[in-house]
Amino acid sequence: MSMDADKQSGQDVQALLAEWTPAVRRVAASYVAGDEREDLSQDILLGVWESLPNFREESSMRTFIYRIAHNRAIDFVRKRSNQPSTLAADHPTNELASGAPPADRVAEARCKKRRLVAAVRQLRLSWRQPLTMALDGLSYTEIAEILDISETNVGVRIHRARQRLKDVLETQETS
Amino acid sequence: MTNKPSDNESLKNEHAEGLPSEWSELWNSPDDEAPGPEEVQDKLRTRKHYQRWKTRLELVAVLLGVIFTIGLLLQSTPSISIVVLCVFCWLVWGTSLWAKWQLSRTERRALTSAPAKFVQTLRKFTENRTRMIQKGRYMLVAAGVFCAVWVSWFVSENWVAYQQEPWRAVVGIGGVIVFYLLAIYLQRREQKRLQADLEGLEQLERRLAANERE
Repeated sequence: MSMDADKQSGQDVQALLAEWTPAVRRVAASYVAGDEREDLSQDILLGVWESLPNFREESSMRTFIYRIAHNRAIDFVRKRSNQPSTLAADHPTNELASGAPPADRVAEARCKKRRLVAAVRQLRLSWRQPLTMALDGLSYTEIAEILDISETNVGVRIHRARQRLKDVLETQETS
Repeated sequence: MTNKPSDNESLKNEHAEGLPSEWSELWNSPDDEAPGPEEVQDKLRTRKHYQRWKTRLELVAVLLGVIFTIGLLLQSTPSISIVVLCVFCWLVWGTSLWAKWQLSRTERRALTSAPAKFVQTLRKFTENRTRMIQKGRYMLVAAGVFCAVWVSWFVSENWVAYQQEPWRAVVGIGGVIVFYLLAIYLQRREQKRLQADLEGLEQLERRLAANERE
């Protein structure tokens, strides 16, 4: 009986993790690229798994998971890159350098997405976090709860992030 | 009433209008590089398994060490040097396990807090650890003084025996010196690592606070 319960609970956890994997991967992509993104995604999912016993339903599962995701990501970048400044300040990189023109519409969309994600990664953390959550479809109330700031502050940060992101993408297009 | 959107809903619409829909579509478009759910779960299970084994191995190593040192103490009438060595080992192992347990507990608790609070908690924890390690340095100095006094006394007491068999002095005193230097090296390495960690966290916290004010 107990083994059945354990198996059931294990399956629930697996299902939950599978459900949240795409969102977790998007959060990871807003911090690091390439192989590091895979490592970070797993790190976050492991963090969620280990923290599930602490979930008290005082907040929504969404809030719970996004907080863990961003905290683990901060910790990951801090430990791996030895450049914590990249978390807090804007940091232009050459990631956006354009390559050969895409062959078809699918390739074009993929290329655009890659550029958008790379541009998001250049934003300072305090703008990047609310912006990516807004892009994920979270409400201002949810973002404010996750970051523990006011909804007005969320609005201001998203507005600034949007302006900066537009500038970065436009500069890229013209160059 | 049912048609009137809630405050939450109007805010949602407001921000949905604020961000170009193309960005949202691109951002949420399917991830081509994403591994399948089974692959993800396998990797997670492997990592969790590895973590558990790592923790178990560390515990077993400490346990074996404790059994060995207790054996040393029980086997024959132990000399004061053996007693000091055993107590020193227990202190180091105990502190190291305690610190690891505290770190994982603090991290787990802080993980579900807001990011700014998370950074603050990590910074405070690292600060406390750095202070502890600095206090450990004073302990090492005290242990060094004790060792120097004890070695001098011991050598003078056994001077005749050491003259007949000098290798005993080399092995015994050399062993104590190597052990002491190793302890100093490990302490310094840990202090440097923690100091760098603390500086990084302080810098990050300052920058985040500055971003808040902007």
